[in-house]
Amino acid sequence: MGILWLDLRHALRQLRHRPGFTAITVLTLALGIGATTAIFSVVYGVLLRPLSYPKPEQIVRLWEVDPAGHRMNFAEPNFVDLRAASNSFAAITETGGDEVTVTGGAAPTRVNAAVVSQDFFKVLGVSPVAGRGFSPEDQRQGAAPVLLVSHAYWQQYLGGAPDLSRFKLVADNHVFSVIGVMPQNFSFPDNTALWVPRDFFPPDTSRTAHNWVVFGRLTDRASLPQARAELDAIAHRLKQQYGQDTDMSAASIIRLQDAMTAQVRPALFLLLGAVGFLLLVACANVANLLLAQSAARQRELAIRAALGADRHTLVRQFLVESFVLCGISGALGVIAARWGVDLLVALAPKDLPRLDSVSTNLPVLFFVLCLTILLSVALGIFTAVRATSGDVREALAEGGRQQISGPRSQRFGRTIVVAQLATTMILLVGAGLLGRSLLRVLSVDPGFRTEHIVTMDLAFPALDHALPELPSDAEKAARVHEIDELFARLRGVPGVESVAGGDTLPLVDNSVSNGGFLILRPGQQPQSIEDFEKLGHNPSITGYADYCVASDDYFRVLGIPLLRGRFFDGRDTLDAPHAALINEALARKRWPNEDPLGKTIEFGNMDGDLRLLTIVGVVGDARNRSLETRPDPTIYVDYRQRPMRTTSFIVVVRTAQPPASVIAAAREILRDIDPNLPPHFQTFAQVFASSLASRRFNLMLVGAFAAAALLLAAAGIYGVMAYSVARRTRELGVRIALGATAGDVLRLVLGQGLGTTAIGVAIGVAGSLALTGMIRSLLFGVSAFDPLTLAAVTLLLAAVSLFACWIPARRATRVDPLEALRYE
Amino acid sequence: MADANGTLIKMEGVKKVFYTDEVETHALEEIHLEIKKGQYISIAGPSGCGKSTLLSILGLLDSPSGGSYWLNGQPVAELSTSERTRIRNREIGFIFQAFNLIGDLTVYENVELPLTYRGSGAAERKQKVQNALERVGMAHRLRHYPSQLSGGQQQRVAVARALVGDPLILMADEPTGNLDSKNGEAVMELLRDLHRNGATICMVTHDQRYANFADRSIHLFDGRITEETQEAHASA
Repeated sequence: MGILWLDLRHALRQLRHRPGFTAITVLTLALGIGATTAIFSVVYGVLLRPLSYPKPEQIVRLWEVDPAGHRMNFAEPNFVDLRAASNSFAAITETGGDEVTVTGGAAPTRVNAAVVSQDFFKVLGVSPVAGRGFSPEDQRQGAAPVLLVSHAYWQQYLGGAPDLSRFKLVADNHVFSVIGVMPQNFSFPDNTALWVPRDFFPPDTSRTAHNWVVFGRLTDRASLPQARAELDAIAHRLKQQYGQDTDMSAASIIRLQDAMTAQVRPALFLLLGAVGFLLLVACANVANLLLAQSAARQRELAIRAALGADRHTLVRQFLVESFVLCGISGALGVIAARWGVDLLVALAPKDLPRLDSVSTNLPVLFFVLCLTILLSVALGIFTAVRATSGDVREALAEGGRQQISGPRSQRFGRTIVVAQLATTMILLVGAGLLGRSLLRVLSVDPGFRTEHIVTMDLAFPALDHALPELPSDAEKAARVHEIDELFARLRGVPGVESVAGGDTLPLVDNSVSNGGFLILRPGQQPQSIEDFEKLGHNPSITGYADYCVASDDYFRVLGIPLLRGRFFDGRDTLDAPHAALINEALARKRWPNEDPLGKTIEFGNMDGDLRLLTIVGVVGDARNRSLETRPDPTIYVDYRQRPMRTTSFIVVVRTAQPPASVIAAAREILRDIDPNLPPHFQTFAQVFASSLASRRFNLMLVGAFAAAALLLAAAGIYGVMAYSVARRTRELGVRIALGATAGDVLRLVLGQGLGTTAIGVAIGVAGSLALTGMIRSLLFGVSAFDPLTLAAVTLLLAAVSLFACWIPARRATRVDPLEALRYE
Repeated sequence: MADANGTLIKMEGVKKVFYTDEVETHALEEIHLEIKKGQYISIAGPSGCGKSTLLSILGLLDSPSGGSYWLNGQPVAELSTSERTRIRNREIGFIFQAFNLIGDLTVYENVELPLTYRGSGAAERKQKVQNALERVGMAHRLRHYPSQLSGGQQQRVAVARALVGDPLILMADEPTGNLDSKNGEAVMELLRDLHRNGATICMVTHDQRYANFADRSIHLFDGRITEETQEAHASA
């Protein structure tokens, strides 16, 4: 212990006496550790941190799988049969839901409401913290409407009042009694604020309406593979029993945590890999600095060895020094990581799941501790082995002269730089590919315009609240009137050029509905949904398309062109034959060699209205889901004829005025028309930017890591070359004395540096080719082996290396032969 | 302890060959040498004659290519590195031409170092360091760093460091080589005092004046002992 204390004291003194070395080393390592810790915090919080429910590993998500292998949400009858037949689950539940406007609290607001079947809370192992949960009485058809509220909603809109019985909340024209409050931070699924029993609504009867998300909790005895096998067997049996009436032929089951994070996993692992490479580059720099330091300390080590320090003692001393260096760096890294995490959370795309779980918590600190110990041991052993392998006698024989490292240590330094350059090359190629992908995405023609458009997102009460009874024509007309009035008054706002709306908007998350439709002749209209499903068994008359409700100016405001026929217009009233517009993709797919105008289609499964739709026009394709996704076949209907699906309705306003003035006016108008309808405003340009947020986020981080690695690699090659020139002062002096010109010396030094660079780049190219395939899923319109990116990165790295070598090379040309020879 | 007839060091037919790029350099040939306890011996000769190589082998910093070497009656020519290190720490004290003090350590810590490596307790270390520094007249500079001392003072500290572990023999490699004549004389006087108090000293020097301080002088030429003289004041 005494000797360790002495080593520690000596290590601290060593660092204090070399402030430049200490500062650079600590900052370099702190940068690497801090960046790695920040990214690990995100990876841990999003991917690895267990869900905050009891035995979270038992909670799973389930899907139906059709014969083509596509995963789908459950149709309710299939869920009910599966629940009855399965023995693998302690509890299993279905849930659906939507955004609703809620009144009755302190202010009208829009929240996510989840419709949950019995056992939902049993699956999650969560109970209300105030009031009570759903009783069997609440969970039957015809029961009094009740709901549970989130802790946040309770606090914000119900004032945190303990007496819940006095609160009645109105959503979708139903009045609900508040019976309980869920625990703080519980908002599953999807930031839910209200939970309503499934049995409040009538059951679904269709086995092809995939409306329900299903979760389960495995029994203590059941394993995931066992559950999977059992579900497959049940699904197979149901398929045999119901044939074409069900799409399900198998089932898919994975852990809930994996299901929640599957989409972001590749990007997060890319970031972890990238920051890991940055850490490697930082460590390589530090290793080179330590190598130079240990070379300068050869004499000291030789003295210690002569006085009786064995190799073990010297190695221990290096380890202690390394622990001190890495310990300080680790502590600074944690501080940097805390800032980094705050920054990452602020910049992260909103759709990154479990972002609220991201923090520099105990497991993250344990990670830093392990990382610091690993780096300490690795760097300490590396330096010690290099430093203590010399000849004691030779080192002492150097006498009072500064001891310099031999060619072996120079070679080693260059090897480290080669590794740095190779790693940097891989990072740069990754960043280059992501950058090129973003450029490609931005160059895609989305099929619509985004400039000068303000969007106003509304949540009207649902018109289908009395299903299976469809709303009356009077109810539909009232909704159309409300929207028409809103449109008319918005058109009167100064600076507004045109106003339109629809149930969806391109690039707005999850807003597009889709389903199967039928191509029928006039007079073939089915009389019921059951008839519709029977006709759907004939593949020659069926198709699959997105279903969008739109107003007549929707296409003009968004700049979606009319290719044939006409837009919606004043002829398309509630009583007139129902009109449809289709996009070019659908026209090409279903009517490749004929004119679709005048064809009639049945899409009543989307809103219960079985009247046939007559195609009156063909419009251009719009990339509704994302810029990266090819336009799907789409059918547009007029909101005045099909207002059923206007619960979620987005108004779009084209204006040359600043958005703020239009938004203020629109807010006033809406308050006047319906004070209980809270809007959400964005410009369409913001919607467009949000759709690229993940791509920008990945690029920004990988680009930052690559830039940092490039700087470190440049510093590394500069250090090695400067050191080499210093070592070779006499040799260079002799060469100059013998007639070497400045150009000869420049070529000599640059040649050495560029030789090192060439090897690093060659290994980096091979590494890039081997590794970039792993990020293929994040690329768009560019190959993982894109030669242009490889060439550009090679040139960039070569240019930076050339510059880094040029400075010491210039210094070499200025060596005074007389001074150099006298020095020796 | 020395053997019955007081022999501390005995070499028979020791040779040292360096191999570089297929070239053999015979640094030492057929060295026969005996040093008794309490002797003060100088090794002299022209530059490149093998003086320092011989001292390195004597001090167990290097091992011979052939021949036999007994230190204190124990054969040491073929010991492992760790065993040589242990013996070096306990039985040999070094004084170098360039002092070789560690710049980051204080005077006290430099002198303490051999005891630290030996694993001595703190109290023992403190007492021995204090004694050693008092013997060389440097006890008043405990907290100074080497850079704050003159060359002569640094060499005194180096002597204290060599003495602190009570070694069987002091190995001094050109101890005055980096000093002016006044400081050189002072160091040589210090060594003479140590010798008078019983220390065994083996010193490499090319300066005949200082060689005369020793009881015996060995002259090397081309790696061989060519002459051995007993000084008039020899006490052995």
